[in-house]
Amino acid sequence: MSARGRLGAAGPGHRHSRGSRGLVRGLPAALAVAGLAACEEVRPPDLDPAVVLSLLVESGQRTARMQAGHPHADEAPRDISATLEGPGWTAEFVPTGSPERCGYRPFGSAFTCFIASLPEAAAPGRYRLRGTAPPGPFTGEMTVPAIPLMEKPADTVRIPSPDTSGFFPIPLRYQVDSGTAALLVDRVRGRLDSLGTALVEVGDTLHEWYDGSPYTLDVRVRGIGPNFTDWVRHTGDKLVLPPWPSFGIEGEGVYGYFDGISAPAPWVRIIVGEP
Amino acid sequence: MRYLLLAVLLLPATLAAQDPGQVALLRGQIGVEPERGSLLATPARLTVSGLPLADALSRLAERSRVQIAFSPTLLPARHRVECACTALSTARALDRLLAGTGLGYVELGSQVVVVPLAKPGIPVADGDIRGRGHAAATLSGVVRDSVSLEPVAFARVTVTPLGSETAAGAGISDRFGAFVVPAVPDSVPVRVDAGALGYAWARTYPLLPASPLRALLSPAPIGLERLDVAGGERPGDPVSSFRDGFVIDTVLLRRLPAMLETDVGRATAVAPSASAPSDFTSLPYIRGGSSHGTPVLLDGVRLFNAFHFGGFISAINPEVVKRATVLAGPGVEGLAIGSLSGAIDIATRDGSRDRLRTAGSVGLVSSRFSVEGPVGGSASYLVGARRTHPGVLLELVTLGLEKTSWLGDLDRTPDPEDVRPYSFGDLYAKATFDPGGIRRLSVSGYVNSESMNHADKLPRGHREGYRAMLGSTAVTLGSTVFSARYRDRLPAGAIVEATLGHGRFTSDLLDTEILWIGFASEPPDTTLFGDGSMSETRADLRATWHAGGVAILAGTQATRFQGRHVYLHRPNVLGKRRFLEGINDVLPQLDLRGDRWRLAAYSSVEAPLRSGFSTRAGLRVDRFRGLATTLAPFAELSYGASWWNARISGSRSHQALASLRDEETPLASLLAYDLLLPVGDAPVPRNTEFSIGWEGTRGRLRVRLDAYTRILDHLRLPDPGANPGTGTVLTDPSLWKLATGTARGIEAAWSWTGDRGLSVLGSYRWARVSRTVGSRTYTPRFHRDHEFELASSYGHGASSWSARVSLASGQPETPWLVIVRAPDVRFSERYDNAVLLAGEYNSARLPYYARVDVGWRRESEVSWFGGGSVVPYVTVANLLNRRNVVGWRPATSDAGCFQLYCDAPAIADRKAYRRQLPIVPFIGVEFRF
Repeated sequence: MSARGRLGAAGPGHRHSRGSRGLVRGLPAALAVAGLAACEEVRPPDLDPAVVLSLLVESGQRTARMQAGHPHADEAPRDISATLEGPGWTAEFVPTGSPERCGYRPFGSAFTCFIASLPEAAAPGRYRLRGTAPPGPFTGEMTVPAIPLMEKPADTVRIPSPDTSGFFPIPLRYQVDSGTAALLVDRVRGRLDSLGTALVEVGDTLHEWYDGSPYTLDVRVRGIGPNFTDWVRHTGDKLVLPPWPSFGIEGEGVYGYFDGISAPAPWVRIIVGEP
Repeated sequence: MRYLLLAVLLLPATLAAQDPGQVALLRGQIGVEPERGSLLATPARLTVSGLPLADALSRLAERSRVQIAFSPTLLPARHRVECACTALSTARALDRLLAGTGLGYVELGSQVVVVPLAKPGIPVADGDIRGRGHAAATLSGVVRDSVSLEPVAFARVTVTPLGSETAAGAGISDRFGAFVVPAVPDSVPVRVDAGALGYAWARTYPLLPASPLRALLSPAPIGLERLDVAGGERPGDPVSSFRDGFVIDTVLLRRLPAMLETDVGRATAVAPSASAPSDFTSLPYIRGGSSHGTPVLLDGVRLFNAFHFGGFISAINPEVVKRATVLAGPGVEGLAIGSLSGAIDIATRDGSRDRLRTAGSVGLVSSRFSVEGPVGGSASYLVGARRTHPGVLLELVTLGLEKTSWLGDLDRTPDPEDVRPYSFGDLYAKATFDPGGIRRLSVSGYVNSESMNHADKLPRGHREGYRAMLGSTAVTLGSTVFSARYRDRLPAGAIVEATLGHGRFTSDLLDTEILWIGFASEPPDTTLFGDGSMSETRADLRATWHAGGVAILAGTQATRFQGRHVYLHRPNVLGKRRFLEGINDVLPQLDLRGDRWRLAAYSSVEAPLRSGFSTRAGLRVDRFRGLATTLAPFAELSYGASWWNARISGSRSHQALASLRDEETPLASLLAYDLLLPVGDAPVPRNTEFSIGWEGTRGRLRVRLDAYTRILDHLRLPDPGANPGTGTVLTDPSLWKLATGTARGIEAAWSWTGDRGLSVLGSYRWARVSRTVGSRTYTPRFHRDHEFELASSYGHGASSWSARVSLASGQPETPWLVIVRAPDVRFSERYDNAVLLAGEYNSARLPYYARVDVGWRRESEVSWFGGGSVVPYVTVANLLNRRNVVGWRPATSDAGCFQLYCDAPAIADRKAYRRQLPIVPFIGVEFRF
């Protein structure tokens, strides 16, 4: 059984539709409903729990971290066993008992942090995930991308001062392997002021803000695979309709992403505002 | 006039309650002691001084709400009366009014008839002319109100040879009161009857009049005395007045609880075919179609975006409205309009022909005023205007609306500032010329504007740190309509009608806002600007012939639609975080232009068959220039029995105009604005519809049942799966995909009118509606499977109470099954992000809908400005304060935000519902002088 089948069980609408049918049994019933209308409260959604796994393997690292959680339950899942298969080796994930070990603070749900010690640093290449969760077995496959080779800007680049304040594009040119779907771009303004991390689609440009004062912008990029890129595309307040997309993990009642991320390329400094 | 052959089947016998033959033999009395509960015992509530007797009788009918029939020519000329009869019965008031005139009165059925005291004065023809040989001829004419001289639509006119109990022919007056009765004997004495609810007229003639009959207050009646009826305010029956539609007249309009004010659009929702997509939309959708397929016609010309306040209030001043007709299914009128989903046809009144009259209202949000009167002996004018109030009163409305999440973002308390800068106004003017006969010319113009100049918006209550965020929105919208209509008679009894019209909608938008990216912000700058217009120019010419019992309609039509919609977002705005739900959520970047001619010819034939059967059939040919030529047939078979009739029909229609609206976005339920554009290539959107109907009258109860099935082909719709629950209300046509739709349903409507001031109008509708875009078939968000409406009014003394109960099943929603959270490495490994997994699109239902509105009004006679009436009214909408909802979005939380910056607020495990109207009181006062 697919994850979709498991997760797609009864939703809130079924109860509402039963109430609707009651409206049409005739005028007396309808008037009675009207009398009770003031007491009716809107029900919150009834969300079905399932196991959610998230796992990014980063090249150059000797450990891999996997988060496992319920989407709605307060109690984190425990009965999960999983292994990561690399080129010629297999590493088992072990629950840490401390969510902070994954360096991740979730919102609204509990989770368990699993760590696998790898026999060697993760390198670009193919990896496989196998395991069993309370809903059933699951598998996953992904490729850790190579480090992007920056061509433009390759080193310090001076951007001519724009005529007016506003956002302006910084073209990016680079070489990536076939396992790279997007770039994760870390940006630091003036060495200290982090602008966060942007996910830039391959072939895109970076937009930055100029307010009339010259500044330096340090940028470094990492390659990231298609599973996580697709995951990000589907996040937000938009409902995802069936057939639900897969983000690298297949299995009964298990959902989430399994992907690879490259080690960061060297920092590139862009001087903004100097002619 | 085109339905004359089936007239007997259409109108219940109770509409023509008066039997002229019986009336002719009546003798009146004075000093009648009325029985308790009789019409004559009804309180007169009349105070008149120095009025002509005819006016006094009319006033008595209005005040007592008793139908009083009288013949103006029987009344003594220059006879003026006085009567301080407020506390007297109608009988005692008539005693005083008729004293010394030689006239008396008698209660006859549902009316009181004023007739001579001594001798009948109305000779009765003798002899039986049945079986005599005589030639056939056609009678035509106009039916008018005996007091205001306004044309009376949907009146039944029959021609009966004297001595016979069977009418030789019948006709139905059209929207301007014109009628044609074909194939009636022209060489024998005949009696002509004209009847509608609240009206009756009869006259006998030695021979059938050769010239058009003037059922007017003519100074020189031919032959015997005629009888005019001044009706008290009784609503026309919406169920059975017109077989092709559901008719709401002004009396019914005022008997429904007012929402802000009397609203013609909201009143049409009592029709079983009509469904309001939300409490905030005054104009309903028809039989599973969306708004773009149901044009709103004002004096026969399309009025774009026929509402104010985002759709909350109809754009048409109720003071100028005569009636609104919901044209839902197949019919000859539909053939002439040529739209996908019927039409809402709003007919305006002619100006008063007897004297200067004024009327108006002061309401919570706006005031309106109208003035009308005669010009010479054959013309009249009517001017009506409406305008919002600045300041305090509008804020009261805002206080009522702010609890609904209608204004602004879902997670914040809307600010009255959001609405205060809003205003609207509209102006309507009409001149009517009636040179004589059925010749008629009317010219009307309408203009409206609404604007919101929203400077320095401050989203208070959202998050304190965002107080400093500034921006502004300026929106100006406007509509105009011009209409000129001429009607005349051609030789051989044909009637020709020509319409020239132009309708135009314009918009102008400017939005500035601060945009944030990371921790950096820009100063306020333009985020969206642009303007647009769409217009439709039309020329209609139609003629109707009657020959040998067959009515033939032929018409030709040319329309030109021109649209230009240019709204530009500043580069790099899209995709940036904005903090206000504003104009950017309504409108995408557009640069569209469209221009399309539509040339049409249509014809229909209506003919009786044997054994009570009759048929109608027609064909419309459309040439959409540069696109396609289409054929749209219509056919109907009817059967009429003594108290019921039934029909089965099928039709097809086309429409090249498509809508930019995405009905699947949550905001679409709240904002009714639409922009239209012709489809760029074939095939043309098409509707194929079959229906079967039954209608019957038993006593005071009228029931109408209809079942229908529709297939909508070649629609242009965006894929709802691309951005479920998000997206802008208006979409870029590049997202259009060829789509299909279906609708099938059963509708029931009933009306009951009692003697004691109680009337009930109800409807129930079950329907299933679907749209198919690509491989996805879904129920559109605006649809409800079940809808029940019950409107009742009760009048006692000068007060009247009204109530409206609306029950409906929930609208579709996409079930949100599970939220899948996982870390998002973009945010320093601190934050998670979520994917919201949903079930099949719109496969679940929101909670059911229930609302009870109540209203009260009291009419008081005043002596100001020469006498008139003042009517204060109070309405409470959603009396039970039911928490109806119209949609939802996933709620967000600040938990994942860092200080003031929240680039991607966390999704919470709950829904943020958009509520519909809470309990809201409305007050106002109407006046008439």
